[in-house]
Amino acid sequence: MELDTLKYIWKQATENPARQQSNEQILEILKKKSMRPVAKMKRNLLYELIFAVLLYAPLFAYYFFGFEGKLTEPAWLLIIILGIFLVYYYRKNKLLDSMLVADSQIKVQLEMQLLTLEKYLRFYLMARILIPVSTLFLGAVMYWKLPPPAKPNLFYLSPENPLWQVVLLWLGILGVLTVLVYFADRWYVHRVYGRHIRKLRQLIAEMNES
Amino acid sequence: MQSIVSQDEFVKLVYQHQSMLYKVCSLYCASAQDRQDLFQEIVIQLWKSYPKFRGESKFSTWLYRIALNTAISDLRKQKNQPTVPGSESFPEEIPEVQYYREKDEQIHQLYTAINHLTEVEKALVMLYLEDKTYHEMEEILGIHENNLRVKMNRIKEKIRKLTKEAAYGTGHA
Repeated sequence: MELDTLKYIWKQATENPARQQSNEQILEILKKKSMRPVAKMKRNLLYELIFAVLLYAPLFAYYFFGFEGKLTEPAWLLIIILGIFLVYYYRKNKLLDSMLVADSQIKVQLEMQLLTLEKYLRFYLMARILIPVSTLFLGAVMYWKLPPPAKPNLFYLSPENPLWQVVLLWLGILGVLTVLVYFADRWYVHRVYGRHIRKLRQLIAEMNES
Repeated sequence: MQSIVSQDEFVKLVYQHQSMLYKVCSLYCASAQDRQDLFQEIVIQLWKSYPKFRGESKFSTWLYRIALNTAISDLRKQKNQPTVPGSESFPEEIPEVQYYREKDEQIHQLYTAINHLTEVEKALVMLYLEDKTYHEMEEILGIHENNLRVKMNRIKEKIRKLTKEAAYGTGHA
């Protein structure tokens, strides 16, 4: 059957009055939340922000007011981390906003979506590297501020543990943590967004091929 | 948020163009529930983009862009959809196939064939069946006219083959 002869059939097939929605039903739809993946990502990001504030604020109070005021440094560090997180939130939110635009040409939209999503994920992976770094920094601050344990151990400077050994151990932990967090995040990103990215690439390639 | 006046205006416009929106939903979703979800999503996206519509392009062009963008780029309803035709069997159920089969076997063949096209090809076929010019298609899809003509020729051939297979039942597993 020729496609041109199908035009009439197409028009008949798609003019089904039973599907009509009333003005009221359309108005109802406008009150609903978008279920697009990007809209969901935006909502999740907001929950992430709320979670971060709820986690960091009590931790800040704990270090700032506890320990007879001897551990204010970790408290300020937590505030700095929270500040970085706010920048991270703002940047991610902006990237997601640009992905929500849907009135461009289809090809332009797909290319923009792929580019922004890749940028978004790179930014996510980079930002997550801060976790082991800040954890180690927090540990180092504690190390200098708190009195050493009664029984010497590998993490503390002592006649048995020279400086280079302690530093090497801390850096080793940082390295392992960083690598673990990085690969765990990469796996997570691949699992959640991998199929979507592959599909976007495939669609763009199909649109470009002649 | 937009004013009540623009909301009423918008609802009227969607009401007038809803058959076109349903066509997009029928092309990209297999089940009635998915079609309804996609319809809602398209309307929400249209409403969000409505303040930015300045009439630089035709309203229908703008509408097609948003509807197709939502259907194609979200990709969430396409996991169970058949992809490019080949050796795979024809789908057991296609959009409202029962209804159409009773009405006209040719409609069944048409939908069976379209269901075997890729997301991009579906968009192209739909615009073609809607009598859009190649220039309008370019405005909506962002693919150059010459490239569109080449693609359309390939799709026509594919549809011809698929409808033939559907007519003789050779596509069934």
